[in-house]
Amino acid sequence: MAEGRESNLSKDLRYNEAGIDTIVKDCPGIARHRLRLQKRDAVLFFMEALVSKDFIQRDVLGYLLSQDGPVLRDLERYNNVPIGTINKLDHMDQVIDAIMDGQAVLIADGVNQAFSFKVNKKPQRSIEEPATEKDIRGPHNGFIERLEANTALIQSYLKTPALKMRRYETGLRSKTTVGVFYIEGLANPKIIDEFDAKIKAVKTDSAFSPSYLEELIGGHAWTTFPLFYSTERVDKAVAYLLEGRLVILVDGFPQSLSVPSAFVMALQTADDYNIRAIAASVIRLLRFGALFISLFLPALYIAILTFHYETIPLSLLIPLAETRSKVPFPPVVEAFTMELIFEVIRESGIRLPSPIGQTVGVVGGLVLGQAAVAAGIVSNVMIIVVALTGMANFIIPNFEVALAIRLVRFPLMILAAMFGIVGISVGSTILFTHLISLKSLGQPYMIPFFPFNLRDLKDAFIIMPAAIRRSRPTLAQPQQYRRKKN
Amino acid sequence: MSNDLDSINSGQLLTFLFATEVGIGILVLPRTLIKEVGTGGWISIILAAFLVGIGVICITLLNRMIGDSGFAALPILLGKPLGWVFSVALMLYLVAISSIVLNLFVEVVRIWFFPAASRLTLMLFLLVPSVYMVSKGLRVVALFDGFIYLIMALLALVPLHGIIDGNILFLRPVLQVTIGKLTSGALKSGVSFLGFELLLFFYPEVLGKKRLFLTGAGSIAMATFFYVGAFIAAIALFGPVQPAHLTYPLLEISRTISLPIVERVDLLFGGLWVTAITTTISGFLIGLVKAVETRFHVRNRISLAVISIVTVIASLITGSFAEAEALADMIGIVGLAVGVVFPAVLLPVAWLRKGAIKKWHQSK
Repeated sequence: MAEGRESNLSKDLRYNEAGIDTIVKDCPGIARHRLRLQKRDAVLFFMEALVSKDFIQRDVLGYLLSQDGPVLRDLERYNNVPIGTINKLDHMDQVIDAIMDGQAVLIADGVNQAFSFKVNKKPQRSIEEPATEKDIRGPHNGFIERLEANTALIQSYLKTPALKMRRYETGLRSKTTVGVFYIEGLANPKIIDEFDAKIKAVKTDSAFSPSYLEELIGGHAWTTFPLFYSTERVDKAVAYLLEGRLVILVDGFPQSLSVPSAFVMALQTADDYNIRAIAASVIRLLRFGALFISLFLPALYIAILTFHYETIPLSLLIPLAETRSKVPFPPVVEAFTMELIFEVIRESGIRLPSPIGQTVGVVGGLVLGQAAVAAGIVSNVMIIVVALTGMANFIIPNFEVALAIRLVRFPLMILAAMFGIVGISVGSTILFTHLISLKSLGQPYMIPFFPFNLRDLKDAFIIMPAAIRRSRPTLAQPQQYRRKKN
Repeated sequence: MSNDLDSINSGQLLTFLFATEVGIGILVLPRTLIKEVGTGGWISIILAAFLVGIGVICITLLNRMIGDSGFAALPILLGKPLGWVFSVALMLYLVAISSIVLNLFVEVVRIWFFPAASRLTLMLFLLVPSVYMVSKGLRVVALFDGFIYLIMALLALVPLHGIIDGNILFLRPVLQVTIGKLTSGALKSGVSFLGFELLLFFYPEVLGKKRLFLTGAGSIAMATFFYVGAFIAAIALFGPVQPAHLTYPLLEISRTISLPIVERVDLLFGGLWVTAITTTISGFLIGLVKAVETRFHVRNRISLAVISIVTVIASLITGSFAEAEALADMIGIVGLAVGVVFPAVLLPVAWLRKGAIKKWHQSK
């Protein structure tokens, strides 16, 4: 409730009711319950689909109707009212916001204030492990679409009063609630303030999805690489908070965003910290190798076969030449054809229902690939290259970075077709320059490589054992670098 | 004035200078020195390093005395007309060196990869990553230059292979070279160290100004190490006479390397070397952008585009590879004059003009 502002609600119930009716006319699911309190007429407004009927019947109406005394005065003075959160509202826009948010709002004759009761019960699904972020040894829970439930999930891991949350409302029409979590004493106040300024500067009528919010706040409009990494895993979000980062949750979406983020985080999973450091390091190196294969293998294939075939040992060159001799197209056409077929199969597999999608993926890959070789459109080696590239791309844990790598691959293939290994060098130079120039909320995106940070390397290519990983990453510039007791 | 796009620390400055210096020299230097000096060429390289070190001392002292870059203070030190004349001369020098490096770059790529490719096409194509890098600012250039350590570590395998497979005794007789030859060899080596003179253009951008000399000296020391290694490898593998007849001895060494799954390792090294040269060109280009910004107070994409076009045109004017090499020798001497003689002359001038410098700072 805004104190010190004059109320624009009238003491006339009919006036207020007419005002509400005008605004919510034709809105689905608005219900009203008329009652008489202290010999005054009153109306309780609520959205049927978003409130708990039990709360309404038992706690709100049950209380209001059972009181003999001055219940409105008690509400006004918060005098031993056994209902959850009550707010006093002075303005019509606050009344409408509360109704649309799923709260019950009481207006009464003779009172120029309204009272809102938090009795939301928005539909929500059960908590389960995210389908795209499965881990073997970690917990099997993930965020859901409700901000309150997600808040409870984080609080169940971080039972400390230092865990803070700032609420924002974005989108002039959507009025989306955004929760920004951080740990006081760890998160850098400058980063919090910078984020605060940026989110308050968002002026749009709908900012209802995390990725949309990321584009509006993150800047760098023309990059394919995400600057705020998303996760649906609670343990990952908590780990980010403990590194001094901010975690953003948008009501209505299970994806959380961590700010600031670095490229190296795309190759980290929660399981890395649930298994022994040596095993995790090997898997981490495998992911880096997969990243390299996913990015460069098709371009190298094109470059070597077009310009630099003398690089291939003679024993391999002869069978390769025999295979290639049956293909009428140059390597670049062959590569583009197969890569595009693979992308089509991949996308169709996502859109179709699970049983059919898997079948399409298997059949499409086998049948199309084999048929293409039999028809002489592509060579056997190309099938291997494309399959390996695709599998390598799937290893990258972060979906958005994997998608960005898929996209960047194609210009590299074109450059390889034009200028061979020189083209790949030029393309890589441009790509790395671009990555180095990116910043995630003012922090360098390519840390700990550029700028080089030796301390943070212990959780980059490899993972050092927990006993050695005693300091936090520098990316978020936490207030406390050492992971101490107090 | 420095801003976040342009602020670099001393470590990043070291990387930037080293990446700018090393590039063409590692390919061209062995042949040049063996022709000029013979087996004592490695001594010339070290002599050149000392000479360049003097230049670094002079530039460091000059910048410190002025409290800004030497280039920025030229009108104050020399008077407006002369200051502008020298400013334009320095800018032309940067255009010249950028275009010569680009020209040599294109010629090496033609010899190594694409003999039939058009010079203009290659020039435009190979300039794109440097221009893109420069458009992002000095900080991004310096950060990207961090790749140079990885590249040089891998490229160092080539001379290492030459030294291991060759016969280091070919370096004998040691010290049987005249001082005159050593000196002329040192002057010819000068072009391989060019890049250090960019210290004249950058001072406010550098955090940790107290380590400016160490940074400059460190970059020269690293470059010297690689050049001496390349020279010794060429002699060790090919003997004291043949390298003088090889266009690029290091390239020939890399052609002798083969691995179980890769026949022509030199092609892979070529890809790495392309990135190294890109860092060299971007170093000179950003120096030129900084000079234009300082003198004309212009910094935008248009000025960068104009600079790039001028560089390409200047590269085309230099004509054939032989002409470019001859010009490279000349520009090496000019570069040493810019980096060593010019700051040395300006030092006493700066000391005499202390009052004017103080007034200049107050008016800023």
